[in-house]
Amino acid sequence: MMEGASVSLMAFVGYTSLVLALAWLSHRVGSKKSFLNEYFLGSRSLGVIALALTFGATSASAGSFAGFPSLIYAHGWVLALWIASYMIFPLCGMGLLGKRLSRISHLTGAITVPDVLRERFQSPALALLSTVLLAVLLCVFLIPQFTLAALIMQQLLGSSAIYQDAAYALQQAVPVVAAQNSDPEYVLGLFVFVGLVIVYTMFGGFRAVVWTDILQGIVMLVGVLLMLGLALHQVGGLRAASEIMQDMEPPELGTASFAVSDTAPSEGIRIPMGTWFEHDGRLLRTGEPVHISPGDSISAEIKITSVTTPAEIERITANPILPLPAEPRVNTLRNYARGSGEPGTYMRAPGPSPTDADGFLPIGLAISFFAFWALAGTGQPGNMVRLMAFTGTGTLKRAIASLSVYFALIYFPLVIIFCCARVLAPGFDHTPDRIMPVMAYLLSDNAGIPWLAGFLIAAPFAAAMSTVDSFILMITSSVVRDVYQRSINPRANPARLRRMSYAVILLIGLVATVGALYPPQFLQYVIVFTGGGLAVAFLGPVALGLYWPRFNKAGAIASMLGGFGAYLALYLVGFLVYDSTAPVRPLGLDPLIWGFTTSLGAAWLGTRLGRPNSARIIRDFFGQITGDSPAVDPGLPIKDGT
Amino acid sequence: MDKLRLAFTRARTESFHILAAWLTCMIWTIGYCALFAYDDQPPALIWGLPSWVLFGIAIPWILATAYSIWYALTRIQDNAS
Repeated sequence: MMEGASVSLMAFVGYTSLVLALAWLSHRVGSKKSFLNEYFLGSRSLGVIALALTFGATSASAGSFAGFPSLIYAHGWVLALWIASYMIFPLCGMGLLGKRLSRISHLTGAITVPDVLRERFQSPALALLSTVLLAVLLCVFLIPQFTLAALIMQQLLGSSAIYQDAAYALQQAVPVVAAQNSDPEYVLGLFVFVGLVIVYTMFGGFRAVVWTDILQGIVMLVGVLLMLGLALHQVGGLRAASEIMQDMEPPELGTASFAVSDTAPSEGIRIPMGTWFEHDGRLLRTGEPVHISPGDSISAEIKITSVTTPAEIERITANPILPLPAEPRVNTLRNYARGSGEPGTYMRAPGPSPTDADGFLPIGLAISFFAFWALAGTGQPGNMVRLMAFTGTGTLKRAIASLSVYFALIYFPLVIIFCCARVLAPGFDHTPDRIMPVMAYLLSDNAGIPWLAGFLIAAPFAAAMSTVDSFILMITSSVVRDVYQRSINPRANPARLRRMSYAVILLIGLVATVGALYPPQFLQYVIVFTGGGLAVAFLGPVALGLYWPRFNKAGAIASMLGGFGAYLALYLVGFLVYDSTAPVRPLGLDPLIWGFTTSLGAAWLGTRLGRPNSARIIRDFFGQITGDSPAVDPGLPIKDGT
Repeated sequence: MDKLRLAFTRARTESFHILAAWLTCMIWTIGYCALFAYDDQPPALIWGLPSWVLFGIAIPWILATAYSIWYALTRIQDNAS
């Protein structure tokens, strides 16, 4: 294992060095160009591969490479339906807004999404509102990304003695941090990741982010395809895996602590995550590492899983289960709310659920998510920014084609890989967020090529990195450009703007790090909430602003506030009234659908009640209106508002 | 019609086509899966995939990818400069 840890460490260091080298190179290339345009938009020079891979890598976040695999592992094949709208996402995400957004941003010189809104609606208030929403939601969005990256670091380097010593030294040296999170290896991983991303984003700006996205996009694709081949080979083919899953039923979940009769020796007692043990006739697996400190006699409570499928128990116990160095004290185990005692529940919809009696994906939610991924992806400001930075329509067209193939090769294979994981790595149901790195190690070790784990783990690490860097830069650009330069200090020189940008990047890193010290259980849920919030806030105002000449400032503000307000309200009602992290879903539909509906309704109402656009705005953004144009509303109340 | 107006109307037409493609995918996938995935019986396996995954998702995914490539490369028009 030590050898595996060493080669993984070397692979990881090599990958990291490459990322930093790209950042340095991009800094050199961009240092002689206009600061704002270069630092936040790469001088609008994206080509086909850069546009496709930066769009793809930014979309494929921690959600895709840790949250999504954890959900596949926890709920089975129904996740193919959950993610199905990615089949059309590249066409929607780039094709719906791409041409118009590119043209308008070129015409107006806008370099951020709030910038576009400010120019289109001539409204500093709308720009400020959108900047605040953008900054707050993206900061929350960063937390699960940081969490994933820290977990990956922990999994990648956790078996290395150097890493363990450094982690516990950190715990001793910074007791304030240790008080926030009991797992020092996780905390160290978090700090290393944050430091790395902050340095290269700060140093290289948009161009570094795009160049590293290209590298990261390639790493993700190769990593997924390698994992697919290895998983199918090791499980004995997809049919073999599916036939085992046909008999599989959900496990029981619980917690346990581990105790010794005397006190632990001077080096303490450690039991690795994923250790099998037997207790009261049950077969159980540790979902987290166990540590009994020197002088103590009992560990902290950890999550465990009790496997219940008879055929699975027989298969696992065919190998001897070794005795533990400490006695387990198992607390109450609980059944799944849906799927317990139902063999084959992982093969069909709605899929099993530990907490929801309706299962993971009732049909109303399936409809919601089909809308969610395509529309929410289109409405992500991070994707919109990329559509403002390409070189021409030809680039956009070829990028859509490339990304369609890229996503088909990423997402459906992920479903297959992590359905195979249920067979190859059972018993991680209580800590499914760790399944991606667990599988990377397992597949590599089984194949006899431990160094490959370093590369496979680099894929989700790259996914987290490529999203985090883009979002950090986007928040920074909004704050520096839309708040500071355009509202506070219009005459700020490039040196001052650069220093301001660096300070904001550092501040964002600090805020998200503090949030990630309290990691949420299911990363994907946080990502869904914030991703949906951004989409309902921005898709209506931007899309209608690009395609509806009569859409005005009042309509845009009403659309943004109405959409986000309705979306947030349904989450708040769920939390405050039903004491649940799940939102209220009227008619079984996700808050996103209600948010979009409200956003469109509010846009229409606001536009009717608000002051019409000036003739100049309509001419500048939609061209000269002629009487025979079919696109012209004859009743359009145009008047010069200036 | 001036060039900006022409580019605008073209982009708007293309956006309607893209929305129609998304809606078609949604109707097929959700409709098929609603009928065959939410079933208490174990699904038949074809090439190791549950049959509802193959016909409701995998094959539509391949077709949607092919359509996206065709539409992007042949139907989306260049912006008039």
